[in-house]
Amino acid sequence: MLYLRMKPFRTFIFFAAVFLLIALLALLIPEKGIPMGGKAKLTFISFSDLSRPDSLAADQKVAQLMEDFSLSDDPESDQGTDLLLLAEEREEPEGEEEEAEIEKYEPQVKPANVDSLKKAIHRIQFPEDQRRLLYPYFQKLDQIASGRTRHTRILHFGDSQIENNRMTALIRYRLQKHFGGSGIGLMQAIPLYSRSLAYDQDQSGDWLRYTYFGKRDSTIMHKSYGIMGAFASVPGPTKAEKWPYLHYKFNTARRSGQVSRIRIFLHSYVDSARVALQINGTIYDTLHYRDGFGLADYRHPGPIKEALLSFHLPEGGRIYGISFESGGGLQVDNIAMRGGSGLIFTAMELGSQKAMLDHLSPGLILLQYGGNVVPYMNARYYQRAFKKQFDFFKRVCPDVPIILIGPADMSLREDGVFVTYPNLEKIRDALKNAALESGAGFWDLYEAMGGHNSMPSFVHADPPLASSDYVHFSGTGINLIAEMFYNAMMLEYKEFEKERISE
Amino acid sequence: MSALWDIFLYNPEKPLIFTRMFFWGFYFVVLLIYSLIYKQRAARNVFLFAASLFFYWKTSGLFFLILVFSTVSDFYLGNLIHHSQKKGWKKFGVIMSVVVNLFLLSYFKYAYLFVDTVNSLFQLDLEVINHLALWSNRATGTHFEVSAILLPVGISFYTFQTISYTVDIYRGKVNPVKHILDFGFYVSFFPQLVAGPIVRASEFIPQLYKRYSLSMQEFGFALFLILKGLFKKMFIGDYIALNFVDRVFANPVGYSGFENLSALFGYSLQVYVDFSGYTDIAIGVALLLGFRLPKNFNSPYKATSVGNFWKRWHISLSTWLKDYLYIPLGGNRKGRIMTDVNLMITMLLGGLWHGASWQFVIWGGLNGLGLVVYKLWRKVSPYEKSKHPWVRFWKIFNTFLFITFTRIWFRSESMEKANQLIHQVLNDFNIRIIPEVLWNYRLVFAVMTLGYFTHWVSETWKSRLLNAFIDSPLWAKILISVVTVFVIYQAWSSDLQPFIYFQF
Repeated sequence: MLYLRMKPFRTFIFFAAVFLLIALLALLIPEKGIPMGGKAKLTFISFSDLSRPDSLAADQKVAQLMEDFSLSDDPESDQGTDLLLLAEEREEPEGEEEEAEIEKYEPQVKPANVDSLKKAIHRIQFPEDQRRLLYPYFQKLDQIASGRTRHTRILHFGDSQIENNRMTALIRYRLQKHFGGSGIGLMQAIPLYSRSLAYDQDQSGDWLRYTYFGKRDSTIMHKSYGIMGAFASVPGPTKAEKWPYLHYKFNTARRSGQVSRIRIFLHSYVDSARVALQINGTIYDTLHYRDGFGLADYRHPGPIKEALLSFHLPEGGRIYGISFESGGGLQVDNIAMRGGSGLIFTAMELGSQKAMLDHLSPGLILLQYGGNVVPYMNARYYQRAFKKQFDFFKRVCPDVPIILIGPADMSLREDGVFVTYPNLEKIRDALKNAALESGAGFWDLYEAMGGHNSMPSFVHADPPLASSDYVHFSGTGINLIAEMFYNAMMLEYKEFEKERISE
Repeated sequence: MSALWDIFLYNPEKPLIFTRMFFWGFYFVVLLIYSLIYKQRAARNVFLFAASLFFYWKTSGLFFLILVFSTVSDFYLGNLIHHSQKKGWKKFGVIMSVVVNLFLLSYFKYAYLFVDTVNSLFQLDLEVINHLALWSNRATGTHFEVSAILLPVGISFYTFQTISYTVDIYRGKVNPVKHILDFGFYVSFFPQLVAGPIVRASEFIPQLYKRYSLSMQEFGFALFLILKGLFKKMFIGDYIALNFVDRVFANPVGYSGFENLSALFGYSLQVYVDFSGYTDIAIGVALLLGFRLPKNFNSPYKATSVGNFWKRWHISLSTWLKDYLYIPLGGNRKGRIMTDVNLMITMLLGGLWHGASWQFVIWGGLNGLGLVVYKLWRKVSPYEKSKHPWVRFWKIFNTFLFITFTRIWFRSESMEKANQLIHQVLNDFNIRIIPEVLWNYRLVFAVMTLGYFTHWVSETWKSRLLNAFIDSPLWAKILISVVTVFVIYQAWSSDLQPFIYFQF
């Protein structure tokens, strides 16, 4: 009868017994766990868990970054931290179009003080004696702004971290604002992301997308994938069918959606391939192609609001990419390779890559890789292999400066706590060495974030700056990173300007 | 020494929540002191009030002053309503109480939504200023941030609770609490302070004056609820959220339609196990102290209609909304059309209660539409009265699909993200990668299957398990508790599911 009712003290004793057993178990089970075969293991609370910080909030470094740089989900926002706008001595670019736009540009700049921003910027590292690596490119930017050069281009290659124009979009928007140009640049015909801020796309026909990166289709025997490492193919049409098409509606309210030139890079298997262009509802041109690599280049006298590209590629053909550009100015291309490690350029066939690069004529190349090899690759091997990629670019684009952006911090979970991958710093060093030894610049994204174990702070920040996979940035997070990189680049630009003035 | 001092300091990074070890240490100490004083009713209530304020202080810092303010104002307004002879004063008292509570809730919860909406409607650039902080800084020299208003934890719950108190006094359903400390205890009782259930004064206040009693069955039941809640929240909910659901919702366009749809069904499970798990623990923790909180969930995904769902999901909120919003609006007494209008208003505002964004209003609106449409359908459906198992299955299936569909707006951080999810499901479904996704995320899908299985399994099986646990000897309960903690730890400490690239 005594035990038919519980009393608080008995409940207390019950809990004490449970806690005691848990403590005993914690003592019995080694901190590293009991292996269960393979990767599986049984682990339990250890006494060091009790003293381990289990922060749920962003740490001070990240809080400071959030203070110094802007937080926006929209890469084409006029609000933000911009070193160029803090420049007292900066000359306004000439040209009527740009002047009108600069007037409209009323940013909220923070921090208000140039010096404090300069301190917050994590600088690009250059090889010794090559501090002026980017100066030829800055000259081009100035020439664009002053109308002395028509075009220049930045190719931004990277892995899933930059998918869907992430990172590139902010850099593109800011640079185009300052130096001129519009349009989203190179896109895959059938992109992985079918939603874009710049346009809406739909299509007809049985389009297929092939990539050299990630999982490769073993039925494709050749290695001609173009510089984007991917192509789209559409068979047909049969006689009765309409030509398969790609249809774009541009969002002209956005700079990235303001397009007046379309370039299609393709490869035909036959001599009778054709591409029909219908712009803003009117059929403008039908272009004919011979067997081999070809380029359709169409300039429209006014803004393109809508484009319908119809393809007559009897044996499918290969569309390497379509570029949506302005008539002149700066283009910045986002070339994302999901799962890529940046080692495919030397593995793919040279011809189609070189042909595209010759037409695109980049003035600067950004490479952003490393994350995908962190979990498993030997750093020494990666360094050697990456140097070969630099050699490749030096061969196909001589004298074009390259900046390599290293991997972000990424975490794995050990006993419930997120820690930086043990191999990460080695991979970062490998990339840094490869870049500096090859005469390229290096921007250490890992250190810029705050270094070791900074990713959890990005995940726990409010708003979240990274996704709960502890690898990828959120939209806001990647814009923050892009703004940091943009400002690092503009710091070099300001020094270039200062030297130019003093000359 | 400083570690000891830390225990008493507010640290926003270490809130006192049920899934943290520190909470159980706190509860252990509470149990010890409680066992010494529980027989003296006044001391017991004062102690639990103090413990609850400490709990809230650890969770919310100085916001506990708002809780104290709400307690004091509603206590005296309650007295005013009860003791006034004139009807006008009674009315004034209850209106004041509703206004003050709703003002607090609006100020802290809806300021941003309001300002953003005004800005976008009128192309303005207004900014939110925390006038309370500004006032405090000027008056007392504090250094609170004035450009941000943070949401105090649990404010949505305790303001509704105090409103129910004054309204019930006004309606003559309950007498005022005699002592303000007792009232404070009712408002702030720590197990239900942060996430409910929303306890009615009429249900809880009589318990303040009762002696402690807890049968062995109740003890077993409380313990079972705590273990079940921890398992649901930490083993199932946290695991699928961290390893799959959160990633997809963070960037829907990065995932195929199939992954998006799986994440949506994953979320439907996660939101249930998270929320019901938390209230299971709350009910268990309160019961061990001798206080009975109302049941808040009743296998909601077994609902056969949207109406039935709301009788099973967050029951304390839906009955609150019924009694203090739907019925005062006129309920079903003013004709068919007005009944539908009242339902829609209730559901739209109920949606907004869940969070300050238009997605929640859409979610509430969809649920309202679900209720209204079902009312019409019921009249024409030939199967409405059928008891056939397939009919029942079909109704449950459709209700579950509909509720899961509405979760798109409940979970998405923005309208853009919600649109992205729908776009991916409709345009990038990618049937061919399904086997690859299932295989690579096999652990996530296994945990999801386990979650849904335990939800849909027959009640007979569930009560058999519960009774077996209740009837087990104490030593077995101790062992089962330890084993459960051990199992939960395995999920909590498991390796992160690596990111997988699917080409679609």
